[in-house]
Amino acid sequence: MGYLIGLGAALIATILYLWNKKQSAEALLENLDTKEKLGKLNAKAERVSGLIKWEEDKREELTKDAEKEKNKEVTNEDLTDFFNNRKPN
Amino acid sequence: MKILLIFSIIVNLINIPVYADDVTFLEKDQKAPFQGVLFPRDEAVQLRKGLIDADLNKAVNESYKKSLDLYKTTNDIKDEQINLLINRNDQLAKSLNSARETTGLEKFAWFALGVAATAATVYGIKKITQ
Repeated sequence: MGYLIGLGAALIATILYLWNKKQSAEALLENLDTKEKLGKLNAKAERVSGLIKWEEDKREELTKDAEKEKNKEVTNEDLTDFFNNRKPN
Repeated sequence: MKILLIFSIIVNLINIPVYADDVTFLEKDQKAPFQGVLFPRDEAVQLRKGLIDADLNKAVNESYKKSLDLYKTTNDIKDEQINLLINRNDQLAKSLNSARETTGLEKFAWFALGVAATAATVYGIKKITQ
């Protein structure tokens, strides 16, 4: 009889222990899933940040090129070409 | 003084299709090949600079628009991350609450465990004293 009671007690204790362990394992798995999603979003944000930087560089480049073009010595041919190239088709 | 015959500039600026000849360079006293608007060379150079500036402003403006869209995208990503963390936080808070509160089944299990432990103790003592 005593052995049976002891066995029952051990069984209940084991079930309680496993139940708690399962709960914490599930929470850990969900945390990993959240971390993974955050990581993917961070990677996406970094790609967008790279594009923003690229646009900034492009603006600087455009300004430099325009300044260079404005300040260069133009020949008569340069002038006529410039205006002719701007004519709509 | 060298002068330049600019025929299509004005037409071009107000965006009406050009239907006549090209912009042509003229020397002083040279006969004009067609009717048009005559610009001094320096004015034409200034006009060219102005048009380069206008082109630059247009391109820079477009680039800023793209950047603005990209910043909006970044903002959306950050919002998504915040929502994800808020949801996870809520889930964890709920889990913590439910872990703190013992359910009916758990109460019963602990009670049964207590009964079993007491019975085992009583049984053990009885055995020893016999």
